[in-house]
Amino acid sequence: MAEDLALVSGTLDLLVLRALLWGARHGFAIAKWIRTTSDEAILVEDRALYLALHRLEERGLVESAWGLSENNRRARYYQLTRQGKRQLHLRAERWTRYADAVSKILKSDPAAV
Amino acid sequence: MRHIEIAGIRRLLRVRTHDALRREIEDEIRFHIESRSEELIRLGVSREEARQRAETEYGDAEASRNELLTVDRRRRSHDQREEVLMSFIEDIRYAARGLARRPALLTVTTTALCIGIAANSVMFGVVDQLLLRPPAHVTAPDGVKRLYYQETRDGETGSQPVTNYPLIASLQKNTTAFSDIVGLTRGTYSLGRGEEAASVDVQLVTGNYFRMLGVRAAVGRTFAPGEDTIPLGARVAVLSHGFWTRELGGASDVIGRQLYVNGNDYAVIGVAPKGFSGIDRLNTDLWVPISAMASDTHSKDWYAADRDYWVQAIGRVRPDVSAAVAASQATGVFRAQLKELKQSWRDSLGTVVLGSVVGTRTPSGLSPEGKVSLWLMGVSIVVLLIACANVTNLLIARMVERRREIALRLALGISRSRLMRMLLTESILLAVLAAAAALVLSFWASRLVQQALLPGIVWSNRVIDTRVLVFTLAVTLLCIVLAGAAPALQSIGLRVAEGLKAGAHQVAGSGSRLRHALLSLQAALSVVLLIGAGLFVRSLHNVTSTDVGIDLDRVLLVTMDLSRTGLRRAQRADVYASAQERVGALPGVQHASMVKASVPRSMGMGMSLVIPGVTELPDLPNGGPYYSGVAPEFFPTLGTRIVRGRNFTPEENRIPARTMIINELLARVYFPGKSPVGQCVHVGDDSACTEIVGVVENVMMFRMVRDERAMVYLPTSHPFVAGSSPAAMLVRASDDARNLIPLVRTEIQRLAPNMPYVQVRPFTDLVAPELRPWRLGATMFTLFGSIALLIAAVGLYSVMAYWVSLRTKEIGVRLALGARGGDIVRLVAWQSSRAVVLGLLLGALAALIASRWVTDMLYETSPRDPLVYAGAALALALTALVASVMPTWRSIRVDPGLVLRSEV
Repeated sequence: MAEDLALVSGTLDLLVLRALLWGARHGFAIAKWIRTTSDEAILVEDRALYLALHRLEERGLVESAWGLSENNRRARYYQLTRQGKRQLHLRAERWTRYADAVSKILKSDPAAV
Repeated sequence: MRHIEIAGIRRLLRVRTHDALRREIEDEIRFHIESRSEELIRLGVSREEARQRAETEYGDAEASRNELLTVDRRRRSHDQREEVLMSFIEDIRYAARGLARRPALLTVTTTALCIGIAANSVMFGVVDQLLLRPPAHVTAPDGVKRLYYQETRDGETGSQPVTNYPLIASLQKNTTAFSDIVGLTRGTYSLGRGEEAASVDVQLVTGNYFRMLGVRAAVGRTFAPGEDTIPLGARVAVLSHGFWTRELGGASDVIGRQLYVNGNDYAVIGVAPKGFSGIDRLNTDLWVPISAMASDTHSKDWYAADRDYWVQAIGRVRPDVSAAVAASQATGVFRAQLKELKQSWRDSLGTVVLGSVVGTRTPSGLSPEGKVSLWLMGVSIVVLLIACANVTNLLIARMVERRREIALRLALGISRSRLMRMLLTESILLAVLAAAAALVLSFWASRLVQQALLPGIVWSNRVIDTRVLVFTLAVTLLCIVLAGAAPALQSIGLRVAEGLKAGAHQVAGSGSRLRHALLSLQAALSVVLLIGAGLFVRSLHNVTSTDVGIDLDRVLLVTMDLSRTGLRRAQRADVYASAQERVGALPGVQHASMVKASVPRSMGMGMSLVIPGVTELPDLPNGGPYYSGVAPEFFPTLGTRIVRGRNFTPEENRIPARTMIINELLARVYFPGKSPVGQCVHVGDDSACTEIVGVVENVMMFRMVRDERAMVYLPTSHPFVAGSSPAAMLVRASDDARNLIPLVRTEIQRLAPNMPYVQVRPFTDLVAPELRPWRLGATMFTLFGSIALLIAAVGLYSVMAYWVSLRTKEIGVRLALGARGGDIVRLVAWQSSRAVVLGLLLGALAALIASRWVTDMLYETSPRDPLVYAGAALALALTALVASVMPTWRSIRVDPGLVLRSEV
């Protein structure tokens, strides 16, 4: 199993929002999506994931409703609100810029001025 | 967009109680763990291990449940708050949209409500200041009491507010219940001299006045101990803030200045705080110690004269003493003096009654201003009721329109309380709109009412203050409840199935009954106001057309105080003579005539007549006879007709002559059935007899109405009056006398170097306060009555128009079956006249009952005057006719073919 990357604060929110970009998903599906999409590089404790979901709902970035899962069981589905979509774009862009900047520094030649 | 739908559905389905939240979290976690275990099982992990791993991956489930519950609860309460706000905004939007669909009706209804609310705010402001609020700046006003002296004479109990000065001194000395007792009186005196002279309103007060009221000077100081000393106090004055700013420009060096008041210099020692005008709402320019001025304005022995009644007493009851104890102590002192005075006609059991510091609330009831303002308050409430009925009408119409929609909402599960709130929102919206406009209107109107209708009263500067605002708010709430409750309640009682079945055209039921009842109520209230207006208008007409023997608008009364000019008696007569000559020569002056002894509207002097051969003369109504010494110009100056005999001749005025003219009343009582002309009577104890040469019509003495007094006129040279100085001069103008005032005053003030302020007043002004109750009643009742009628007409119009629109189909059928236009008109007319006639009858009945209370405010008008009742009925009938013309016309224009095709 790959090494457990500690999540930079706020990153989990971003991942959750991104997971919902293409439509409503329940918590388990989101967890699975993060795990597989990151090639199991990022491991999120499920408890933290649910806390993030409920907090995002409190802040009005996602909404939830009960629906039926793929195997016909009652599941709580989350989906982005309009505000959530806006936040996702904003945060994703900020994160990318930040990550680019950090990786640029890491790849640079320390001898150069 | 989708999230909005979800929110909407959730709102419909939402019952998220505490337990529900917990259950949802439980379900969500269970679903996750089960899904994960199944996934692991599919990957080949054993069932137990899969379960174990899923739980481990999840983390501490118990802690998770708790933290999620905290977050969810927080979210739920936030959502609920937001939802309430949102639904409120939604209600307002919904109501506004609905009302905007009938803009004309909305405008009229809101305007009517606005007028109703404004009328109430204004009248409350007046009543508050006149009757409720204690005078400004007085510390602990509840402890301050006015003393009234109550006696029973000839079986009648009466109280008066004034007494003699020695009693006040004795009350101050011999009672322990009062911390202070103040004596005060007021008068208008001259300020300055010669052509510059002006008049000022002065209060003469005992030295403890400001201390007792707890009023501190804004500038300088108030009276010091020792400044009010008998017999002559210090000539110092405290100015009112208004006088200081108005007349002295608010000069900072005012202290120490000398003011020449009523013939003496007074040193200014201080300025009273802004807005303080004493305990009465009357203008005051300055306060002086009573001992400094009373010997000039009253009598030399004012402090000892126990038979002169001229001072008011105001006391402050000690906080630890009850008012009853204070009153009984004062009564003891009062009775002790009564005993000492030995006046057989006095009531030895007279008592002192303590009255409120608010002067309009006397122990024997309200003052005339107070009564009138209370009446008008009542009238404005009636106008408000009529306006509220209109709002109810509008709301019912709206509700009937929406009956199907409401039934649908109920069927879809909207709660009845929510529905009620939705309907009440409409009346709230209307009332708030109206109240906002009413505040603006009342700000403007209250100034008008105060200045035009109740002049001479000092009002506090702020026309609209917190109390008026609170009152307006309360009235608005009342409107909402009154107007909105009935329609809202009715809709709640609506049965779902019935409402859904009914088309909008099938609902002339209970809503329409209520609307007809409201129409009748409006008509009834309008009739009451119209009858009130009619009664007051007729009274006013009767009063003003009373022949008082004086052409009021053409005559000026000129009074001057020559006692401080330093002139001797003979010289004073010369001043009058030259005044008469010079004023008589002014352009626009027809006559000028001086008068001795009794002067209309200012003083009456009595005498006795002896008729030879008659031992006992009959009693005269209102005492007398009164007498005046007059020149021949006197009667033409006033415009008094000579009924019989002749006027005096110029010779009689110059050469002592024993002739007299009497008035009709005296002729009727003393010489019943025969002509007095040529009779010879003795004037007082004159041994020679005086011949009656003429009879004139009665001339008003003190009051315009119910004040006939027997008069004797003597030529100014008659021995009985030859020695006395003229008391006043009368001036007749060729047109409106008011225009001559400054001219006449300047002319006279030039005559003597020390001439104090000369008062020149048209009789119109002198009688104005007396006419005020009738004028006020006539103006306000007519104004409010017309408004009420207009509002009722709008109500009638809207109901009828609506009725016709609902019955279009029925009318169409009738027309198709052969009914003629006349039949339809009868049908519509029957609808509108039913409510109006019922209202008319109810209103007339109410007016008959209510008019008993105005009887004493009417003049020579029966409270059941048939003409007034008929007039009110006619006005209402005409208005109803006009209001139903349009709907009726529309009804006979119905095209039967079109109607029958339109709804199958």
